[in-house]
Amino acid sequence: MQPNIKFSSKRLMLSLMLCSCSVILLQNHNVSPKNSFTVNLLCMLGGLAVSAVMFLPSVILKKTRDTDFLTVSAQSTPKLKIPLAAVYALYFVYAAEYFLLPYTDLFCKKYYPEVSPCVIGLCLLGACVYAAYKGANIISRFGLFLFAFALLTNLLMFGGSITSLDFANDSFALKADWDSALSTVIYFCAPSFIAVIYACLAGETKNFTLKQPLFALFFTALKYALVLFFVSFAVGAYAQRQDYQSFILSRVAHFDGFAGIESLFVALATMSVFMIISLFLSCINKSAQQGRLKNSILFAAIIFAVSFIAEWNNSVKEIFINDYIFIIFTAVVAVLIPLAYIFTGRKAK
Amino acid sequence: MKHTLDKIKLSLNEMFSNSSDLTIKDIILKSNYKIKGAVITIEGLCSKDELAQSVLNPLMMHDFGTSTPQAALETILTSVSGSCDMTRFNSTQELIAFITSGFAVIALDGCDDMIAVGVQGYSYRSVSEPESEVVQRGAREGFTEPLRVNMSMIRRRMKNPDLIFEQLTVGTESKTQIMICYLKHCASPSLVKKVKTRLNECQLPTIFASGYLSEYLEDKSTSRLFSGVGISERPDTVCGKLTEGRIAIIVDGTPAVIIIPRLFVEEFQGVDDYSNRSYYATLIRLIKYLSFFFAVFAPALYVALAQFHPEYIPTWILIKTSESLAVTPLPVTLEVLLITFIYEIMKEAGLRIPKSLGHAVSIVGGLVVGESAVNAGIITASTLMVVATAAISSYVTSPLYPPVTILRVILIITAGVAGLWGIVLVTAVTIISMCSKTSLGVPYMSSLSPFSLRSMRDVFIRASWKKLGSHTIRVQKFPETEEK
Repeated sequence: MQPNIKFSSKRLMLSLMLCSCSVILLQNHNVSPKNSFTVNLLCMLGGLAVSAVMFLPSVILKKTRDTDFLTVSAQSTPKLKIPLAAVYALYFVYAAEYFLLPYTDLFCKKYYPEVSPCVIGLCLLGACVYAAYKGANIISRFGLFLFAFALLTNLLMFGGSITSLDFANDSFALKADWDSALSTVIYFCAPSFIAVIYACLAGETKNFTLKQPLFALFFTALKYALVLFFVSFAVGAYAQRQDYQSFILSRVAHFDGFAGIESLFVALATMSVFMIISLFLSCINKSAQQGRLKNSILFAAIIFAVSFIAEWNNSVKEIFINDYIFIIFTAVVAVLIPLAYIFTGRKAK
Repeated sequence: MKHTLDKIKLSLNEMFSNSSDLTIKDIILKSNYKIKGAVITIEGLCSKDELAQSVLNPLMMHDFGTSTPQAALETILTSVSGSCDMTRFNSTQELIAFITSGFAVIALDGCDDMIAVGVQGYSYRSVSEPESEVVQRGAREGFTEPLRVNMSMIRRRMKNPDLIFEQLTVGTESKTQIMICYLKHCASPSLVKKVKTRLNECQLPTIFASGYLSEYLEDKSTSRLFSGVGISERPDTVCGKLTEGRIAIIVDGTPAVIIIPRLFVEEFQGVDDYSNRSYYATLIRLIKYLSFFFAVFAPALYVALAQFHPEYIPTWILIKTSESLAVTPLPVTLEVLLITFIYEIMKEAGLRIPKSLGHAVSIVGGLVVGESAVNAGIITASTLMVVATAAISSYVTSPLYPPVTILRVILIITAGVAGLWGIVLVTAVTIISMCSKTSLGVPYMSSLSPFSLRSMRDVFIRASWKKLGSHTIRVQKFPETEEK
């Protein structure tokens, strides 16, 4: 481990981009057939614009003070350290459930129905504890390998769907149903969680430029656009009747006799969720500023316990996979609290 | 400390418990005072011819006239012996160190100081091509056992005053001499200091091979599955590594020289890559990476597909495979594990039995165990083929054989329990473990992650010498290296 070494900001941003791309891999939100492809695309861009806004406070802190929000808060208000750490830990546990539950659900419903979601969750969390113990720098190094794997998988998934493309006449028209459009915008706000990770880990990085978050969001948008495009035109009506539409896309992709790209898709989703939860645990370690291993084990156990309850109680599960709650909570920890510190700091000066 | 000859002889005989190889030849110098002396050696470590020519004959022939013992010692040092390797000393510890290293020690009665004369002449294996690092084009010279011979092989290739050899002694019982070797302008002083500190921490009683020191040189609290310490038996390889700022450690009595820091991508670089045309070297390198992946993942993927996802196997293969798998008594996971273990047993046996019996083992292994087991329906031909191909692939990058074997077994078991998902999870943990590993503070996965574009010209591809030669990348310059 190299705890005292600052790592490249580019690499952290690449990892965050991969995390944000995974939102659409675990997509259980049905892109409504009432909206045309163009409207869905605009909704997606709207959602990502909100994510970009949520990035602003941590980017301002990084640019002006070359540090992250957690460090600033620990320095300026040491008395609030524990309540603030508790709020962030609560957020990260919630966010971990937001990704873990759809992932185990996708795995058990679509890929391998004979296995219990709790077992999948437990094994995954065990691996995440190890990664979180190693730290954010090491997880970001893993991100480079994941990036190579994601490129290959996406290439196969999209390449294998090209032959199935079928354009309807009104696909590009501005046909919209405003209720479902709003829910689509909210759904595509989900990548804003990467702004919270950045608010916690930015201090460990060096060589930050403003281009980096812009590129990360641009490539996320590109990935989403490609998935939306292929889901709309390669899978079409078949996808509209089912959940986990991007998984369906990987299932229908094929190259002559070669099929089974959904295995690569599940592998990519597994590694992405692994990286997201590991980064969450790293952020909790950073906010708690305590022993990495003990802390990681404790919070992984909490995440597992909550997911166990959620698997048995559907109303609890509904709370954890609710897009609205997730976005509001993200906005509070990514924008409101850091902005309060920035403005208080200015007034104090 | 006043030495008299009798005292020295007595204490030596006591210390060596009258060991039969301790030889003390009494002499009387030709002088007016009949100075008594002794030439002390250990039998078998000195060349008898050299001893006679450089020590005994000149001592007997020279007329010391009216010299006192002190003056006689001065005369021996300056004008009697023709040897260029002479050292004056006066302690018993040094006396023991010299005689056990093959020196002849001249002691004179009534004189504090003694003289050690280099007359080493023990028998050793001659310089030959190392069997583990055979090359098509390039030197056929490999390291041998004596430290000095190995040093000379490096010095002959690096005619550079910046090449430094620093001697250390390790092993509380064996007192093994080791030599830290580096290029002063290339190696980072902090890396050299780190190596010396770690070697000094080694408190093993005996050091008979480089492997004894490897564990002491590894960074603490990093994964031990892959080794951050490299080994080479080729002087040209060692010299190449020295120019990249690495440090070599030569251990007396072994032809395997330690090179540190060692990175993952180096395991795929061979001496032949730099002799061949760059496009061909690139192809070979890509094949090496593919072989590595095949060696690690092929049996596990076979298990996962056969057991959990037969729908991914093309129909014409699936029909044949499922027919044979249906009649074999063992589940596919156990079958793959069984063949893997049988192969490892045969490999170990093949390494240790006399060469004359090697053919018999090949016949028993290949025909009797392999073919008969398939014919009898105990194992399937497809399983045998997958395991055998993976085993052969693991030798393409032979330094990685130990971690590849361990990973393969873990992955087979995981694939048998959790299918492709298990493979993915174990792979993720392994990558995290590899990414967290460092070798002397240099990230083990350097060039790949942390990514270094400049280094990539010698990773997946081997760029032309014009590009490679334009700028040598020092190992301490890799991104995120501690204490640059």
